[in-house]
Amino acid sequence: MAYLVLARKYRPQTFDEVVGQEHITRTLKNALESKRIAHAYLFSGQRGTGKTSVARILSKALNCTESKDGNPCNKCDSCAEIMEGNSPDVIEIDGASTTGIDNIRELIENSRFMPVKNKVKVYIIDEVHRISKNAFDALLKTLEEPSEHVYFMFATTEITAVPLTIGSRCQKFTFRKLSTQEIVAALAAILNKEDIKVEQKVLNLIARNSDGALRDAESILDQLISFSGGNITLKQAEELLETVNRNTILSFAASLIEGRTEDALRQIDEASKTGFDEFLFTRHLSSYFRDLLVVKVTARPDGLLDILGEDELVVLKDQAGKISKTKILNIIRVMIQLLEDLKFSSYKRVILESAAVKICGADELLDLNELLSRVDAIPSGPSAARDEKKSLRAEAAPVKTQAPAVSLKDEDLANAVISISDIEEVGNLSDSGSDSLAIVRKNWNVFVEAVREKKKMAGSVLLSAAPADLSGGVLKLRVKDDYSKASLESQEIQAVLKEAFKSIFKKEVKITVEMVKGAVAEAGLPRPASSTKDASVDPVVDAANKLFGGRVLRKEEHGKL
Amino acid sequence: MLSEVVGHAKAKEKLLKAFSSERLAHGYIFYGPEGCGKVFLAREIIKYINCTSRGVDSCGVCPTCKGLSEKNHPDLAVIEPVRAVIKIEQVRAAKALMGLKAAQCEYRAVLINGADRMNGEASDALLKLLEEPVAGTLIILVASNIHAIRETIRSRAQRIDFNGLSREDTVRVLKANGIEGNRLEFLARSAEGCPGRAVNFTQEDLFPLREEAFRFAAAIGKTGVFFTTKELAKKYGKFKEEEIEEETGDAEAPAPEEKTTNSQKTLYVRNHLNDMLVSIFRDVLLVNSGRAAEIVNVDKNAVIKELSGVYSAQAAAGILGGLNKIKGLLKNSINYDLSAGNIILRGGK
Repeated sequence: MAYLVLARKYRPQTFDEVVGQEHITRTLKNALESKRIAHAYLFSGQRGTGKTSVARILSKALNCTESKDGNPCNKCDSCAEIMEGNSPDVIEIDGASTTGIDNIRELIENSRFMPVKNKVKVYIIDEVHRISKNAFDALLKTLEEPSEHVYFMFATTEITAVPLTIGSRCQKFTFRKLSTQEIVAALAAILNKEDIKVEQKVLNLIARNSDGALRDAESILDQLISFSGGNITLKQAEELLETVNRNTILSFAASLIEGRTEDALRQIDEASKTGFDEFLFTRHLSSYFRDLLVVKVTARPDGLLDILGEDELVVLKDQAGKISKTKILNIIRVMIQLLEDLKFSSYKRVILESAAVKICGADELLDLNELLSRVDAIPSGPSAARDEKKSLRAEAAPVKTQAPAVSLKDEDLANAVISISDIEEVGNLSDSGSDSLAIVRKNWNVFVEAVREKKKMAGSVLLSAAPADLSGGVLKLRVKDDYSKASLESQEIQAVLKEAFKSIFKKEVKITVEMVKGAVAEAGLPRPASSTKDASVDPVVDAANKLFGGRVLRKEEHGKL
Repeated sequence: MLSEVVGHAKAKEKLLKAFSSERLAHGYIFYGPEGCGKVFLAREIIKYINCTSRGVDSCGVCPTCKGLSEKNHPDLAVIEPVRAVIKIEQVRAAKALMGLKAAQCEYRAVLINGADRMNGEASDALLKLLEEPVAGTLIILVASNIHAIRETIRSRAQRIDFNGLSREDTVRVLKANGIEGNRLEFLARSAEGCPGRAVNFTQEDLFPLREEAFRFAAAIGKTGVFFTTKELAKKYGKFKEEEIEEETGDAEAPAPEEKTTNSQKTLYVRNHLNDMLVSIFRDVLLVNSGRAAEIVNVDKNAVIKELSGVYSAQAAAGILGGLNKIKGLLKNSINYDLSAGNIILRGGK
């Protein structure tokens, strides 16, 4: 007899043999014992978890003459026939290739006849999600009230593709993914029966690579056995699973961290000679950087890491000392994009190489804090600055290709923003009269700036408002749209405005807003240059300017270069 | 004969070991880059296990060997994408064949070339066959993109990974295909271990188009001259069905005898131009990263050197990212000429 793959050879034949689905097998066994069996079942779950197997076991148990504790005996004629797939009364249908309404009509027609030799008739429809909509509908009446001797069992990996009307007529069971331990135990049991000895580590490795599907695990084991001739070593397992060589990952990561472009490219070249999958490689790499990040930000990373041994932790700690958190995050960001690109790209190797070059080259510009501390460290002497400039300019060019090169965060800026030092002497505001209004207008930018410091959004809205009147302790603002009016009238912003007004003009006012269609009367307001401080005064910009020897672009030039 | 398979020693060994220890599974996925020889090995393995006077290799002369070497054999069903997709009807036909008793062979085989092009229905229709075929069935799925194969399929078959051939092996295959001269080195390098690609490159005679790509890459930095792929398509556009993804929908549309349309020609040209530009800028990236010895376009060394002066490694990396992106968008009728030009121009600054 031809060879049967392990997944078929060891397909569970009783409920007790089904791995990891106790919540289902126990329910079904109890139902059988207490004769409370539904006439239709819908089994769903991911591949390799036992849906078809359970359907077959249940159909055996329903017909078995000598069942024990709900389990079929697997010896009686009926069980034997079903196991061979020859039973006239257990009909297994491939829902994916017989999808049409005619097939279902035929099924319904036949279901009316009594079973040929068994107690009941069972229809198992596998991959039921592929049945056409009309066929499903044709099934509804039969499924709701079938003849007493008929049972339906549906199995599918895509429960969402099964109509709700079908689902509501069935008892539904969801099969769960198996845990690593469950898979290891199942594999060990198989190996025991096959009389083959394997290291525990190998089983762990297989289980981890099979995504909770027992069939995947069995398939890998099968391959290993046939490849190794029964003497399986961890090395062979790694080779087969193409677990990318850990050392390759480590040394490649080191090249990236230290910015050695040439080495990184050579390593890709060498790895591709021995054969590797760019996607898998990148996935391992990103999980390495993820581990690195964990080591970097936690004091006790144990248990959070996905590593094989203590020695790797030492390497990780060593590497973590050489790299900043921001840079790790940036590398991970590039990796995630890369994984996405790799899935469907025609130029897998090329984009892996480009990513390596980007990461290596964008080195110096990734971390703003580092950059700022570097600015501080630059001696004021022009020659030293020039040297620094020279070495950095080489890396300055790539900023543009590196999409999110520097992101300024609020807290980064907070330290750097100039305090309002150029407040003009504020005169005493009298209770009324155009004089006080004039003073407010004159210092309007200062006021806006103060508000902006407290609440950015309020500052922005205030830009489109103009002070129209100040009398009787009421400041009247004029705006041109509903939105500005509504936001300025909100309690939160009102509070900010009042406080800012008080701190600058030393006077408490009520603030009202009126809307005027058309242009706001500018009333000689000195418009702030885009309200924020002049870019060249910003110390960050200034520092960058000194460091790289650039100039601040005019507005018209934005995006042109 | 198996001995004719160049390279792929590991894959061969795995299969032969499984066969000799009577552990040959009923389903395999051959996964690896396009054009590296997966189908060739698959056919040879099918011959080998069916050969009536088999030694360490198939005999190559028995009726079975001869029969399987020809395109039509009752015990071998070959499924290939029609207009870039494998549909359920094709799978059903193969399944029907597998239900019959083998005519001559020990193993009846299904060879699905382009298993990553099966649509959802076709893929699901294969599931039951792939899970529990009748004894003596071998199903080989050949694919270059494993992610496009559903997990339910992957879980039912054993995966055999293929790598590109070594450069020496590639040269051997190319020489056997009658490729000689100064093109040989370039083709061997550009094939990246997949001689099928190089053979294809020669058969399609893409060299003139390559000249255009170089002319464009060299000119755009200096003069900002864009090319017009529509014009190029009139000169170089050949039609290859594989390249064109048809709108699916009415599957029963009459088989088109119609001439290649202009848009198909343009798409063809753009596909290849993009590949060539990628190859050019990858060389630039290599040169500027200190790996000049590895460049692909060795015969165009001078141009590559000149370009390397214009574009830094970083710039090249950016351009490559852009070109990768528009490759995926080609079918969406983007303005390729502008996009490609723009990407390269931006990278250069």
